[in-house]
Amino acid sequence: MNFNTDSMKPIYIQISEWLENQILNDSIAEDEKMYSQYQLAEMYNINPATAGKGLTILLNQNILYKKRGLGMFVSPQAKELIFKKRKNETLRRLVLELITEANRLNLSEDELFQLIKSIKKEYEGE
Amino acid sequence: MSIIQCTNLTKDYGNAKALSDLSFTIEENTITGLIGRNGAGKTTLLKTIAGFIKNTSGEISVLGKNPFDCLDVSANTFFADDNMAFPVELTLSELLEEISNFYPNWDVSLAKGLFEYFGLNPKQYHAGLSKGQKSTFNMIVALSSHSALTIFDEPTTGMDASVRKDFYRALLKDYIQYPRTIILSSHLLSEIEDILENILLLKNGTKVLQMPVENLKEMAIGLRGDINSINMLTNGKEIIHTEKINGNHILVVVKNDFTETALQQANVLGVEILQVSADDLCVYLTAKSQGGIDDVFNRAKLI
Amino acid sequence: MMYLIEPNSFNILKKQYFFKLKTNFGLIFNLILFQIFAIFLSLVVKMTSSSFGMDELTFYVSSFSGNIVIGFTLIWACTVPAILTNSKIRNIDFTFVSNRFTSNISNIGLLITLSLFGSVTACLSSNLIRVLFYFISNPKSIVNEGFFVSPQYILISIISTTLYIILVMSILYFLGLLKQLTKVFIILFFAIAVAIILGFKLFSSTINFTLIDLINKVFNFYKGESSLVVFAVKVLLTALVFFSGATLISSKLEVRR
Repeated sequence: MNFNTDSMKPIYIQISEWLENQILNDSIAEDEKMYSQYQLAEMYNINPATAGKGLTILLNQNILYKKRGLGMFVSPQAKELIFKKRKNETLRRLVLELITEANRLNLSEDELFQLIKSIKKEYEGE
Repeated sequence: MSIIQCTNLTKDYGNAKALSDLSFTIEENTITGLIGRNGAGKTTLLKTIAGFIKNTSGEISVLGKNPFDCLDVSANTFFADDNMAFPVELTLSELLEEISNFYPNWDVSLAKGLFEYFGLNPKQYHAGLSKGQKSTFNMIVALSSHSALTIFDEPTTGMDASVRKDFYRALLKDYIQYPRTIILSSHLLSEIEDILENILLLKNGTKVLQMPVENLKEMAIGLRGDINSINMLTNGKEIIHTEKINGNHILVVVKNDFTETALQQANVLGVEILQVSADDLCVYLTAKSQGGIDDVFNRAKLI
Repeated sequence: MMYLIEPNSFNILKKQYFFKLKTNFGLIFNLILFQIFAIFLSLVVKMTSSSFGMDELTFYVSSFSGNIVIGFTLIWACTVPAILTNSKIRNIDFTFVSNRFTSNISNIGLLITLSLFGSVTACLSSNLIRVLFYFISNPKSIVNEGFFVSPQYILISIISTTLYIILVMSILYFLGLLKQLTKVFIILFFAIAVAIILGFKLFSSTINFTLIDLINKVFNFYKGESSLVVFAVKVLLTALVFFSGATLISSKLEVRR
């Protein structure tokens, strides 16, 4: 198992994303036991604490829940949560890029909204 | 629980201060990387922790006691470096047997397995090993001892790349199976940073920083672009490193406390945002001057 | 989970002692070499040689001594502490489990064991020499006086030789560790030694001592003692002093590589 060492993303984030993907493609089902930090550490050849951080992110976002003494499990609503999160993040990033470029081209706010409306119409018209 | 606690630890050798007012804590069951340049005091610190050397002033507590001349600490600590003293008269397999007597937690199957895996000859003598083989043997002994505190000082000297990889993997796997406190000093931070939890960075015998590896990697950011844009972005910030690229372009490394919008602004200005590797960051933080070695050549130009 | 080990000093001492017995085999090898050479010399070197005769009859008498072996054993005994206090050898203890106390005591244990071993082999060598003589030369030419040795004699020889060796080893062990302390101390030590020598010469008019006298006195303190028990007490006390001094010194020493 390898991850992108050149990526700007910290390893624990890459891990959490990989785990999210595993949940999304049903490799791990709802209420099924999630990998432990030790298993992840061995799979990825990293320190267990780092793997643990990745798990903690998902735990804090309720994508995982803890069963005392047994470990972490996938929440029933995990898939939905992941979808929502990705939607927000990706969209947000794209919008930010759009705004940045618009500013660079000196578009006013009105011009920007007009542009969005017209392209949306084109898109929906097809 | 803290395994190691140092407060204002100082070690003098005559007039030279090897360790100067060093204070830090190392928690139980963690892997800490001890990083620093040659002469930064890494070996001195590790030997003080292991109880080989006595500190000049300040306090050090290992497993709750001062480690110098302490049997309790010695029984629970294993110190491996490339100068390890082994009796000359015993073969490697005899050595393994004798050593196992001193360590009740000794893992026989691990020692045997690693020994065979790395192709060491049981009938050979330690003095007859190559540098890499010595390091390998020392590593096998250190891991198999399962000591609560295991210290490695430049453990990969002489090892080729594949052996180093195997060593880190073996270290990690054994650590997962039998958690213990491990301190690892190395020049090759890039190779070990994934298996580390924390980093302790030394410079001239003092602590520069101690933090989780992930935090270190996110701590700084590189900006590359023309001087004016960079100056605008970094106004008032502490510059960790500067490098002249060509013409008007420079590269600076600063603390990463930019907001997302500020970073977007950088994009607008045409400034590239670069990630700084932990390795490089440690080099910059322990450098004598901001410009690094380029300063030598810059000065030469002026003359 | 890793449970902290709580070491027992005595346990560690035992382990170290047996470890050292195994790893210092080379010392015994040296001893055997020294003694074989000494045995050879004993057979060849005539201690005293005299001849007397009357009329047409002349006797040539030569005597041989097993003391050569003991002498060589003592020389060997001088090399042992030097080797043990060498920092490379000392540091081996600290690669494993040790503190300065256990390291020292196990060294001392080793020294005493070696003393005993060396003494036994040396004294039994004298028997070996007699046996060899019996076969080498014409048995008829051997004078019986002093040829047969009683077991008590051997026992006493062994005990007294062991004590001599322990004495020598304890002093040299102390000196060996002193040398490790710091170079400064060596210079200091020699300065004091020279001062004592000179001092005695200076005071010789008032105190009437010379260095030779002093050395003689010290020698006779041990050698001149006729009672084995008192001798043993003297030697053991002296050894105790030097070994204790050595232990004190070693507690200050750092492990340098």
